[in-house]
Amino acid sequence: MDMTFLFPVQLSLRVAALATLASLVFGVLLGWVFHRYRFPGKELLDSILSLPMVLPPTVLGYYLIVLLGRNGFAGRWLQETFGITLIFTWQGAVIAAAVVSFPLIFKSARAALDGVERKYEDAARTLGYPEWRVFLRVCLPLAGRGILAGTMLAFARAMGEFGATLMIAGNLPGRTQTLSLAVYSATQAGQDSLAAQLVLVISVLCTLILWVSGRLLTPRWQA
Amino acid sequence: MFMIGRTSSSRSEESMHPRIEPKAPARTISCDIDTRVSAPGAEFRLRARFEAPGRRIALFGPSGSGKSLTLMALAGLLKPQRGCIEVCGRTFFNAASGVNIPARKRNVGMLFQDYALFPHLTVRDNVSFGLKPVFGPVKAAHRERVDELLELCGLTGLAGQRPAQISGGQRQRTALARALATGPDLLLLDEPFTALDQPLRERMRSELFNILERFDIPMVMVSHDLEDVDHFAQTLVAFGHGRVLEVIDYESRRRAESPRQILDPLFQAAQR
Repeated sequence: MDMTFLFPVQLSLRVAALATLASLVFGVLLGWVFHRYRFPGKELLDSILSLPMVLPPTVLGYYLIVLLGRNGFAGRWLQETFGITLIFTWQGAVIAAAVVSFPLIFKSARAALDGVERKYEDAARTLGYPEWRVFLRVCLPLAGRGILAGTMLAFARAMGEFGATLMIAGNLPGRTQTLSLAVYSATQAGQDSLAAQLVLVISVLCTLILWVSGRLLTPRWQA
Repeated sequence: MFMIGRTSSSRSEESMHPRIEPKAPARTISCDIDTRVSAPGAEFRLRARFEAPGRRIALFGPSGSGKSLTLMALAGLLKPQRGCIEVCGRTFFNAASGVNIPARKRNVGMLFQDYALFPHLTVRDNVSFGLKPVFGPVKAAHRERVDELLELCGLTGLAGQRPAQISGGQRQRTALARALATGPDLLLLDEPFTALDQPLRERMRSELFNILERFDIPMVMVSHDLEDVDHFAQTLVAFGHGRVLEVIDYESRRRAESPRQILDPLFQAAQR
């Protein structure tokens, strides 16, 4: 198999894996903060954090360019301090995919943690557990399946990311062309068999992910 | 100077060994708290003020009278807005001086109303939960203690089962063993028998109290059940409408009166 097929597949897997990892860390952390604490504007902040789920990807791409572009304030700071440019790089694609997949993990983590009854946390507290151990030994195991299911959905979403990626990382074959971008280019260029192969790969992968995450969400312990 | 020295040394000792000294000056629980608790759609004001001596204290009253919330405050799971809590000479909470020992440092065992057993852990892992170090397995000495407790509570054959696989009575004994495993200085029982049906209830009551008799631990039990209270109480703290109505030396009054004679007027007072 040639690189026109393999490169987009491996790039998409790499981008989606790194993006999912990043949103897993931030999503679970913020999900726990939202589960544990009460603060003013909490539900408004929840809505803002969930925006990437519903906004058009091009709008997200626009925000990211404003933020991370050569004239964006974060972009300029990164450029001047570390010499890092994210625009038109595969790392930029990771950022785009992470932003898009983050709400899926955040939402499911918060819901799963809220679903852990308080009595279990209280029981651990009376047994001498500090808050971080309560989280690790009680909340995470009991919410784990919900979080894992959200993570798998986030991975599938990151694999399929198109609009924001196109705007921030471009569609450079062999550099930033992910699977979904390659399908678009192949169709445009009339390379029907390449397009068909790529479509098959992502369809099978996403079906598998949805099937596994659906199975994860069926409860295992009856109370 | 002497006073200051004493206070600071006892504080540092407290932070290292979160236990009540065995020779505590008095086996008394004194509680004087005032707090608002908001539940969805309602607000509840709790003003619980009592001083109860004795090894077995029952908080008695109809549901919604504030006895369970008081128990939560004793355990450190509810932070009152005002007041103070002292247990066996140790200050758990004092709003005025900003003292609030967290639940994990109070060394108080709690038997929850529906047991709150961890559904993802086996009976053995539930019982040894409070003994588990941050890293690595439970120490050998602690494992022995867990084995003894499982034996005592008749759970040895069920050690590998999960809470969903065992009966209500077995769950209750698992929860009791879990609370006793860490060697608590005070045991709190929240309506321990309401989750069980009547015939089982009487058997469990005698079983539970037989087990507890072997442990020399002061206990506080919340109940609205006449028979529970009669089997258990030395001192009775009667609740009604978020307040303490009366503290009664139940054991000595019981010599002359029947349970109904003591408890019925309290229940009526609480319902007025």
